[in-house]
Amino acid sequence: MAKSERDLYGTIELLILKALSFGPSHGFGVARCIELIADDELRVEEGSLYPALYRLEAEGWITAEWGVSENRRRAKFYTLTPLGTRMLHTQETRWRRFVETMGRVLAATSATAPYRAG
Amino acid sequence: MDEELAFHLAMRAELYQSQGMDPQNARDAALQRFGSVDEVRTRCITLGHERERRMKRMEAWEAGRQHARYALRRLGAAPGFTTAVLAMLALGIGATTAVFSVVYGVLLRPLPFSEPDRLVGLSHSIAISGISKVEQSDGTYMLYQRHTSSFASMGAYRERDVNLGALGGQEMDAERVSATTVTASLFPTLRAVPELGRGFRPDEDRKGANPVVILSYGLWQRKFGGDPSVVGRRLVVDGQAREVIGVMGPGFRYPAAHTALWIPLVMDPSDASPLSFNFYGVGRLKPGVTAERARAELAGYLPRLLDEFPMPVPREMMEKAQLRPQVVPLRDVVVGDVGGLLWILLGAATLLLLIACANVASLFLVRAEGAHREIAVRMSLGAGQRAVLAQYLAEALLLALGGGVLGVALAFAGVRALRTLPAGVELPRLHEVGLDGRVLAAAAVASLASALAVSLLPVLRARRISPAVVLKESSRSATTGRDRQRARSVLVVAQVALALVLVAGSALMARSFAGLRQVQPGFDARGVLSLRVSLPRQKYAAPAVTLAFWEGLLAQVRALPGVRAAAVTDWLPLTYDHSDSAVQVEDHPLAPDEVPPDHPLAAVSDGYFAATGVPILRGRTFARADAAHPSTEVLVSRSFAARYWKGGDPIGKRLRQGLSGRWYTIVGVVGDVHLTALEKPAEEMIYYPLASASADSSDAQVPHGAGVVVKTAGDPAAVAPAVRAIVRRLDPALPTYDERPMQAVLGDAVARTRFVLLMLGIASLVALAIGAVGLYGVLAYGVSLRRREIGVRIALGATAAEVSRMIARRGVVLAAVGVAAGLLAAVALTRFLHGLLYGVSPTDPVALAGTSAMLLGVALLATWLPARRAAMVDPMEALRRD
Repeated sequence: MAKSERDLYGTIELLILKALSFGPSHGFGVARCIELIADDELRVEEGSLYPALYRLEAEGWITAEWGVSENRRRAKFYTLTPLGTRMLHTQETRWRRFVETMGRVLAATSATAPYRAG
Repeated sequence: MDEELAFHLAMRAELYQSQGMDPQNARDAALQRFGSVDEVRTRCITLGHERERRMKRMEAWEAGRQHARYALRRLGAAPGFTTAVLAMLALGIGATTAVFSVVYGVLLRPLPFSEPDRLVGLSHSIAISGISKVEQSDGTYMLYQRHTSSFASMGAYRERDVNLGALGGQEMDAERVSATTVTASLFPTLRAVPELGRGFRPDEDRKGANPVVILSYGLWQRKFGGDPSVVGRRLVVDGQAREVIGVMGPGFRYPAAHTALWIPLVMDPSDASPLSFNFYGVGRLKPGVTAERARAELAGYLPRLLDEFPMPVPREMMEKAQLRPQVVPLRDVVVGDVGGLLWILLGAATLLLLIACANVASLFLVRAEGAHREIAVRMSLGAGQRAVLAQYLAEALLLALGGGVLGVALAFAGVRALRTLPAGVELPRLHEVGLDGRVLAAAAVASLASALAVSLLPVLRARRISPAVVLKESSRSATTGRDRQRARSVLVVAQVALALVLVAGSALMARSFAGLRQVQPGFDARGVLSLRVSLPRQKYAAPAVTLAFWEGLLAQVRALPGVRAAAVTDWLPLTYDHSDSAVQVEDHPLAPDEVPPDHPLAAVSDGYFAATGVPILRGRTFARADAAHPSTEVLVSRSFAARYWKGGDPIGKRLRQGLSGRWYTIVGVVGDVHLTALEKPAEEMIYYPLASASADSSDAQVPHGAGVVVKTAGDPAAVAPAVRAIVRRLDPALPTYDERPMQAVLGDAVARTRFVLLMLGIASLVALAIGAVGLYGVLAYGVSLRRREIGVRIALGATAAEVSRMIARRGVVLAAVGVAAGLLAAVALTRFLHGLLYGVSPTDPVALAGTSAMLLGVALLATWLPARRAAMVDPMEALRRD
């Protein structure tokens, strides 16, 4: 099973926001959602999940509320706030641009490289 | 938190179970996958705490802002109150801060040298007639330097004025500047390092060394435009070319702010004058050595002075003179005697602050009174006591802040004004005075403390309000009002008392000032111009040449239109520049070991007494003399004659300087002149002619530096350019300097007294105004409180006059109590003015009586309006009102 090399806090927050954009969920639900979509290629480091959720809540990007889960257990449900939705879009755009730039750098051959030392 | 994590683990375990694991394994696997539960929990908890803290902070901040906004609105709705309080606070805080910054900069701040508490000034105490303190002689300095081990290093210096000439061959305008000759060790003792170039090398203050000079930053900027290439060039100082080796930094102004350059001081052990104390000594104590120990060590070596630097003076005389070394912190030397003046000013400013605070407290009490009902209503509507109090605290804080800011602005302007002091009031280290952090902090503390203390009183009293009681009362209830009135009355009495102290101080200073102005200086300053000229010794080596210059100058000046008389003297009246000498009078022989008393000397040309209007009381002025046949005649002042020949005739008697040398004959007695200061008694002095025979040789002794005194028919300033032109014609390299009408000099002599009088006067006026307003406020409010009572009285037949008198009596009683308290305080406090008073004692009854009368008068004025208002109360209306 491929594991992502390093879970940056930035990326986990982005993933959480995305997961919650499909609708309110509890912490486990978010983790599960990510796993399912990424087809088990991405493994959510569970130790970082809850601190990230707390941080997002402190920033005001998500709100939390105790509720009852599908199997009649008490759980804390998180919802995306409008501010959070805006942040999600911003972060998404930034991520895509990052990927694009990385791709360009990696695709460069010695012919297309504009500068060479030595 | 735990519940959430437990939920997560349970869900994961369920998932595994649904994938086929058995419950036990599923739980373990879930735990394993999760990682450290504890760690997560701790991290989340910390994050949670942080968030809570941040939220609480934001809440508090929001609440604070709300309070502030509301307070601003409330204050805006009471513009009279707000402006009054702000004005008072600004005045009090501003004055105190301004004066404190001067006090701090001059008196308290450590000197700007490295380890300044190790630096000491070296002088001597002495007990002979006329003086009690002397500085160093080259003999004593060299003696101490040779032997003592208490000092890491020592230096000596002497100030003098020099003529600046050309720089590097380029002619410049001749200019006279203040210079200091210093031993090469002085700068290292102070640990002062030049900003440009280098300091003096240890061998550069020896005889025959290459002549060098170090410039001050100010001179470098002003005269040479800050050009770094000036180092290495040759500058002509007093006719001698010196190499400029360095420039000091902008902050280095030692020993005085106007010192323009430093030249090496050459001390020659083989040609020492051990009893001519003309130098200032500075030392840096070694670590761990106390001033006392150093002093003891110096005292141990002093007896060797005459062994190592012999002089024809009997040893017993030195012992009789009780010459003893003194070691004092250098800061005290630099500050001098200004301390008293500054502390007094600070005291006055503090009194002003107290008065202002008392007034502000009074205003707050009134405001609280008005708010009484409002508080009660709010509390009955459910507002917590805390919230209500917080509101008033916010108001008080805002006012304190506003007052403090305004006060600092005022202080800034005040310090600027103080820096440009009127001439004659010399404050040392004035350039180091500024509004720096420490002073601002003190101002902030003062303003917060005073404003809070002042506003807390009514706020605390408000705590004791029970809403029910207040709401039941009528709005003008006598009981609560009277309580507050009592507090206000106390405050007014305090204000009057403090104001009296200030006014009494002013009155005393005013009497001193008047007394000083009445002192006859002994000379007639009308229409007289003085200016100074100094002849460099190199160029004017022979006495005949120097004398020819003075005589030529005088002849030409006398020929100018409008000039009635002209003369030359080496001691201009009311300046400190003079020589003293031990004098022995022939027919008053001394006991074998008795020290001859010191007397001031001056050399004057023969037209001097006519030019300055000093009368010749007996005998005649000098006979003509010249360099080839110098005179042995002298004139003495009236007080000198009175001292030695009370009632007798001094003409023909003889005197001499020191214990040996030439005898001079007295040929006349002239009127007394206050030559040093008006406060000091007129000097018992001796006048020599310009061409006077020197004491120990047959040469003439002609002064090189002198003041030219020109008596004109009209405005003295008009003749100044012509005199300057004459000097320039005679010698283009000579600058003239210190050009002043003598009237201005006379004015400056009382400058210090006038300055203190001005400051105290301003403070008194402000205090009186505040006190009067305070009294008026209390009485006016009292009238409004007692409206019903007054209405009843009038309805029952009291006349308008009786009612007015009732109110006025209250005012007078308050004022009288205040005056009484103030007199007690004044008697206790005015003793601090002692050093500044002239001819009047600190408890002068005339001044105190006058002050009391003035305050009572002002009080009567303040009661007049409310008393009238009381008389005009319409009984029907008053009784009808709630």
